[in-house]
Amino acid sequence: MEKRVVITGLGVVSPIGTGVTEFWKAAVAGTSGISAAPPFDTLPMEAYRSRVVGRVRDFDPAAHLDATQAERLDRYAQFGLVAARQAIDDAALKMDREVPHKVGVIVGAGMGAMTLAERELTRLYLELKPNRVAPGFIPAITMNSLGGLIAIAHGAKGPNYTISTACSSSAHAIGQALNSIRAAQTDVVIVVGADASITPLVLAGFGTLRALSQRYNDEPERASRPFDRGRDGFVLGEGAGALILEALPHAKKRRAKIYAEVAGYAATSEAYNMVIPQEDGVEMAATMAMALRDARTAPAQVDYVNAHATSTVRGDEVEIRGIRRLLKARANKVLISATKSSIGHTLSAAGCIGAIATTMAIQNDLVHPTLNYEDPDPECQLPGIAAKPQERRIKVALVNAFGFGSNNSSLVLKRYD
Amino acid sequence: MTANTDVAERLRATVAKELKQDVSSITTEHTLRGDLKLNSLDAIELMFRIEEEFDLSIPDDDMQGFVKVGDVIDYLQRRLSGESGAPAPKAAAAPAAPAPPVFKTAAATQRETTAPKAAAARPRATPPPKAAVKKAKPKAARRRA
Repeated sequence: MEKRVVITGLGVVSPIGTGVTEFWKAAVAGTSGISAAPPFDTLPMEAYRSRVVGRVRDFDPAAHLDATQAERLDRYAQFGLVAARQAIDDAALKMDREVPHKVGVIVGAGMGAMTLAERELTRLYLELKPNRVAPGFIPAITMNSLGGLIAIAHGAKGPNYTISTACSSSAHAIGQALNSIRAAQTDVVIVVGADASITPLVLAGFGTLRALSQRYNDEPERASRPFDRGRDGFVLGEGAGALILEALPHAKKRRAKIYAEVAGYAATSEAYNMVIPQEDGVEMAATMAMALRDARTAPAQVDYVNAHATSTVRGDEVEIRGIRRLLKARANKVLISATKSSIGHTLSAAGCIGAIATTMAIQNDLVHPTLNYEDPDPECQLPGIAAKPQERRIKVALVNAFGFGSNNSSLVLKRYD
Repeated sequence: MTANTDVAERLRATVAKELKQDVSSITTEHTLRGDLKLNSLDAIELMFRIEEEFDLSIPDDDMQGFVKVGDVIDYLQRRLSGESGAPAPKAAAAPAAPAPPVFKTAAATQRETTAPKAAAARPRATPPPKAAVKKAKPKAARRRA
């Protein structure tokens, strides 16, 4: 029998709250974390196509980190360190009782230290002083910087790597952690997804790609509206999610609180287009089907889907098409929600944050609402999508995360009994 | 003497500001690595601040002689009192006692690891900042235009 893997700790930094309790309360209450984009120095904000963002407000690095880290680390790494520490505390994981080489760190990072990168590049061209580039710049922009920082902070000496698959990065990180524990490479894996890319260049870049919402610049809270007829692109968000995954016997031995089981995972590539999913949803359906097979679970058993649903016209349609294709009649019975409706698209943190929302749904027999679902788009309408919280005992849930570069991932989370 | 005291105070204030500590907690006897717990990156950041404060450029090789706060003060006083531009003699910059660890930059460490002899024999190549600025300007101006 394959080794079972469970979730024993959660941590989150998000536009609707830091800490899982705060995050979940706000998600269920339908709180929007979307606000007007902050001014970017002297740049003409009116020239930005999208001026709404899911920003983590009131985040004071000094309240969580030492003075040097608070001043020098990139914002994404700060988010990731804070979420990781929360998850470790939540799991009551004591590193002095663990075999250090059996505690891994797997991070999903898509954009990395963009804030720092843009700042240093700008400064270099403005000041023309190559010898004044921050000495910490290179170790910060290497995509595995957060993984290293977490390992150093907690003495986790097991495998330490970073998965970079854009918006599906941290869903893959959870999947790879599952496989690492199944293979007995690790007892415990600290999984983190983090992104903080609300920067002048990234907001402009996603804007020119026509990926972002433009219609609701004056009503930020209405901008992220997955599955709604009025949706017109995603809202750039930021944040971090962290989960402690561990082998079930290991969790039992140390009498850890068990949130849920990570039962299955699939990773595929559509090998189709860098930014657009294949229209028929066949590939997304195939990914979800493979994850369910990995979990030895039939599609008819699925109770809830935490959808990738970024609020883009094409993406939301295709995902629902994929769900219909896979679940058939069951598609009309599953509950579906889009976490991005309240926090925007947190890019590489999205997989972890979606998994956290799903874990909390399993724990609380409650699915958070999909905000701004006011006028259902017939192209992606299913009865299980609602603008209100929905109560349901959830035994099996799918978490979807799809990313630029034509890549898809699905996770299966189960109630642990 | 006044000038020297001024240098010492300015240096201690710069170090204190960089480390976010009270200036009274920084003494000339404090070692940078041991007592003040500077790692190699912190050390470079500190050198940036010192270079800005005193408007001079500190070659990497000179930095290696800094063990204590007092070493930096001595060095700055030499540089600012007519020896400006001239490198401080190594023997003078380095402490007499051989025990304390040499204060190294990451780059210096790497250089030693890869080519110790070449690094030791290498003549000092103080970066000519003005020339670099001149060279870079036209290109940058084009980019910004």
